[in-house]
Amino acid sequence: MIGYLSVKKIDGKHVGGILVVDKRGIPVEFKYTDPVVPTELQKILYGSSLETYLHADIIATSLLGKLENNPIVILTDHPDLVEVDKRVFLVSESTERVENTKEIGEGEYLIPFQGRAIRIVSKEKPSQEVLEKIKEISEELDIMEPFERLDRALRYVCSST
Amino acid sequence: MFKYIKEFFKTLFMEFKGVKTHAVSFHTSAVVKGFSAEEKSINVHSEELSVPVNQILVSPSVKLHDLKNETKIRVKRDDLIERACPCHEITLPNLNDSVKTFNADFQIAVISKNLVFRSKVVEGVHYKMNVHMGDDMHHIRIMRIKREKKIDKNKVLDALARFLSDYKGNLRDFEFIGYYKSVPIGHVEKISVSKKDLMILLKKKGRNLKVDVLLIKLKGIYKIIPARD
Repeated sequence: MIGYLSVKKIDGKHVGGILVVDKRGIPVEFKYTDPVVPTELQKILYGSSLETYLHADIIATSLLGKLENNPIVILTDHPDLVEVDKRVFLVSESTERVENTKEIGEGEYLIPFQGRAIRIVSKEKPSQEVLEKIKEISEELDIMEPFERLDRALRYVCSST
Repeated sequence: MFKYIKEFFKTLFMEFKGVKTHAVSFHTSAVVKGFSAEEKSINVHSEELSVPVNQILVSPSVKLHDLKNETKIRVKRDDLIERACPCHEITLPNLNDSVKTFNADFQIAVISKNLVFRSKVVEGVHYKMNVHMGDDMHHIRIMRIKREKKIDKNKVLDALARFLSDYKGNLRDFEFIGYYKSVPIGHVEKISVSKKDLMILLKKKGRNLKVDVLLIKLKGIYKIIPARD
């Protein structure tokens, strides 16, 4: 199983969701938060740290706390969420081509994906087992695709509230 | 007698000259519109708070005809919280038509400490987050499978050969669209095509079956052909 964690700001509303899929991409669990619209007071008090606080400390933490499954890897498309849990990896597509997993910085790796690579960044240096797991998943399914589903679902949540 | 006449003209002269004094009292709920606090520990370091004058309650004795609607009073928030004093009124010097704004630095005494701290907390600072289960939401069950850029020629040719051996129609009606890997065919409820990608509505329960497939178009109708390993 692999988790996908995302937080969006859609029409001024902050909303988050976590989708867990199996190795075929079939959804196993999906949880989402109520959309949050910060009040003027909250904007004043939190200032520029509002979004980071809201996205990481409130939304992502709440979602991970309610997760019933325990995926070994949780991918996110949002840099702020890497700090929330050591299982969370920021993932993005890279134009570089690599044959094997390559460490490019501290907690930063390139993993082969569809002839090119995905770049992952983590809070702590991941174990070899985790890196192998990500590589294995990326060979079996389009590892970025579930983010599209999350995005659609979160947009739906925002539009329906 | 001359002394009284002199005093009379002096007063009259001052009136015509426009030297006016104003006593203004602030009502907390107006001053801190959108912002209130009941605890001293709330510490705001932020830009200035602008409050339109027409939102500030003024005691009946005050003549405010000099203050236009667009006139604003600026109050530093830090001062609002920490330097408030129990004084309720202040005289605002040199307030005339040319004054559009005036600074709170010399007005801070007008804010009542008691009033400020007595205000109710109307909005929570902390968030409470509700998390919902969305397993039934169909948005998460729509999977996009992109057309492969690199195709397995042997697999594709083998699958096409098998298909065309039974095909009786005109080859002009036949169009190859793409090759798709690892389609969870055991969970397919519905398939559609979007920009040459497969859009699959996944069933909640299905068989653990994945196959690579070819997508072709026959007389304008899409058809999926499984490719053998």
